Amino acid sequence: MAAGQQALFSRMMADPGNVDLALKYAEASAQAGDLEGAVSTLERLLIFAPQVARLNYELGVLYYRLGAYAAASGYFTTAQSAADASPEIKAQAATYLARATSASAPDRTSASIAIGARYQTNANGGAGSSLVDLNGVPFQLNSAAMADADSNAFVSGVVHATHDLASQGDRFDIDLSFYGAPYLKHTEINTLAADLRAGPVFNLQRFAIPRSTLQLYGVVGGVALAGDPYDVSAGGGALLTTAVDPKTLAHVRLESRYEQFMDSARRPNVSDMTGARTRLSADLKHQATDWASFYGSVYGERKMALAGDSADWEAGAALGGIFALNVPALGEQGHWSLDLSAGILQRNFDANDPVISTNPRQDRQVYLQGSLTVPLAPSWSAVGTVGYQRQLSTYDLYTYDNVSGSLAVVKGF
Amino acid sequence: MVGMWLGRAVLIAVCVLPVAAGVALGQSVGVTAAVNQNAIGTPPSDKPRTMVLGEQVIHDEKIVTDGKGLLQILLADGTSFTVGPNSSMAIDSFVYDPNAGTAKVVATLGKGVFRFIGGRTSKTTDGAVLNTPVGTVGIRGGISDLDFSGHPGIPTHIDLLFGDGITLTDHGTVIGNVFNSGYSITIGPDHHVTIEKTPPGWTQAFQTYLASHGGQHGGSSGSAPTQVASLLKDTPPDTGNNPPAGTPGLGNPPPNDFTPPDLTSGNATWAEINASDLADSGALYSGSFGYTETFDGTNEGTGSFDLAYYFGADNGGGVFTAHSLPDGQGNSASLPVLPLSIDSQGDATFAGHVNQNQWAWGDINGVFTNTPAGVAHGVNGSADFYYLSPNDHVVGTFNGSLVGSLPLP
Repeated sequence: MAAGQQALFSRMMADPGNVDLALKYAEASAQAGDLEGAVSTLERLLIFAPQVARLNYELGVLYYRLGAYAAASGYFTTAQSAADASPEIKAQAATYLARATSASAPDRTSASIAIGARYQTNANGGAGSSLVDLNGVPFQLNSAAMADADSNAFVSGVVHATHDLASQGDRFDIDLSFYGAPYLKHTEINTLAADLRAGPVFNLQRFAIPRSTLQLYGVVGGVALAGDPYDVSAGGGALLTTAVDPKTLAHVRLESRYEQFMDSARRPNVSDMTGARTRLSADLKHQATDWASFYGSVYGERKMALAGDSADWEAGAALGGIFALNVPALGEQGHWSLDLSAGILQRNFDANDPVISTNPRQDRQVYLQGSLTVPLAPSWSAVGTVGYQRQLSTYDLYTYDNVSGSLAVVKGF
Repeated sequence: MVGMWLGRAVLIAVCVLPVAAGVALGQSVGVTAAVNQNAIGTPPSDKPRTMVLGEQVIHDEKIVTDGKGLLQILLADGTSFTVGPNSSMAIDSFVYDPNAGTAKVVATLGKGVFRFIGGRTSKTTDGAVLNTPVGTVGIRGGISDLDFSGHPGIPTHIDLLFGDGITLTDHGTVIGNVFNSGYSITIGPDHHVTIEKTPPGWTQAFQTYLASHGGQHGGSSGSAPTQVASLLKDTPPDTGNNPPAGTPGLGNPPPNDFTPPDLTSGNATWAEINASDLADSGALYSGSFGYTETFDGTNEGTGSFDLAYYFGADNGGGVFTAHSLPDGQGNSASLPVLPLSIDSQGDATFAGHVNQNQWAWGDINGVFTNTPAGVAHGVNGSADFYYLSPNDHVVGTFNGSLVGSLPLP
């Protein structure tokens, strides 16, 4: 116990009938994250004062935070029916009851969808310079290969469905993500993409590993560009999720999928990129204060391909922070949220492209991004994002930069 | 070395809990933090005594409650035992080292119902060991309900409300292991052990067992309820929009009331609701619930209800709660409800059904109504459900009106 909490506890032990002391201790315990200490104390006060609506309500809140939804529901219903229950307490208890019912349901679904528009100074990923070096010979690129600004609309979404299995804490998760983006000028990169992951999630507490799960899943995906099938992929993966402590969550993921690229009239040689892609990644997020959390991630990836100049090793890292902006004048729908991040990656290809160089290509990229999320209404928010991306490559064709800005409306379900 | 450590820990416990004069020869292990009579303690080699609030509990003291008895024992590390009616237990040993942050308690539980809330004991390896009629229970971090009462229709069970796990061993052999909150070890009449998701009715029953009834106040002064209500009144309730480890009583202000548009009277249709301010919003209805109850005879009465309902284009739903049920204790029952044909042009009707093994199960049907004051301003319908046992059957009708808005979950 913290010193203040311990001092209150000692006084409470010496005078257990002192209601004021008990409430102060419960408050101190909850502030210190010792919810069990707060529960124990409020349960005792409930023996003193069983029909006080607020007491039942606060005990219900504590149990709800512990994830003990059945116990929470019992205290909320008692709070509602207590003679001194105010309309406010009744309404809040009803809200919690509905939440507890939803959270404890064996089947749960959540989703979000974003619709927005984006502007990029280099939408087509074209070269930043018109003069490039091809095997030591200066070459003037035509305009089609050069960076070009464009705007696009986009829709993206995620759907998450969970079914609780009979065994303790195990479940079956299905995750669908999709993305679509029509471009104003560069219709050749109009994009449709989707990924579906599904598999069982096992509670590792059965092996005395606390607050951890392991998901084994299958994954399928596909991408179409300008209406042409571009690639389809299938594979599997494993995701380890662990709460290092109540404020720190970590993931480690290993995923491998076989990607089949398909040639089209517009892209006659992309099937050379066909092969397996295997990625090992890890990320960690820490809630440092009520208003700030920080995250970091690293990954390494091996991309196989039929052509050596399309196969590569890649590694990257990113750091970021999310900050809640609590300015009452900014609105009553909740905190605004600012997310700032930066990352780097290095990509080394196996073989050279003989048209360009006798040496294999190497890329190095840095990026910066900031996004601001503004709650508009319950379950609605607006997200504005700006980003800068700079890639340096040993092949001039792939040296470029890009500035982007987007605005989207997000609806959660 | 072990002896030295034990000696230091026990010394600490003694310093924190000075032994009461009347039982000076005994070793104090905790204090009674709430007591409803009758609760009798019998220290080793001493006469039985009536336990009162603030009493030192002695090592190996056998504590027995009668049908109205209830007490909470608080240990120096924050661990607590709440002992329900018709129960018996003794704390065999308790050692606590505040400097190391470790503690260990060994207790013997007899018949009855108990809630264990771990302090440092349950965070210490093998720190909470309970000898029970069905075996030895080890609790790792958390809160557990233990029922050895033999109440009709409820088997012997040990529930993990929250925490890392519970292990049940019999002569050194593990016969039950729960490692996920919300699950129970159930022991059948033939001593057959199963692991199952805790039926909500069991937790609800514990809330009834461990509550004061009929003017009981846990041994505190009669003004305790007024004091508690008064002290809590000064802070707004926690609305759940705060970070998880927040402070009780510190939250956001309640949502604003909304006024629905003034439309026609009669039953509301989903089309009207979808076109109104109620669409994609939450509403709270309250009113009267007239019922007939069949339980040790047939009774009629009038209670109240709340319906928390969220209107949504495709996923409306909510919770119906009946209050002041005629079960002798004025308890409440909640049933989830879902919309029927929310996109149709017909009446805005809803229905709910809860399966067996819940603490309340049955059906509810209703319709939202218009009044001159606005669309869906009211609600009425019928409920037919069982509460806690198949022998307690409640049938009734409800009629109420919109009393406020709810934040969306």
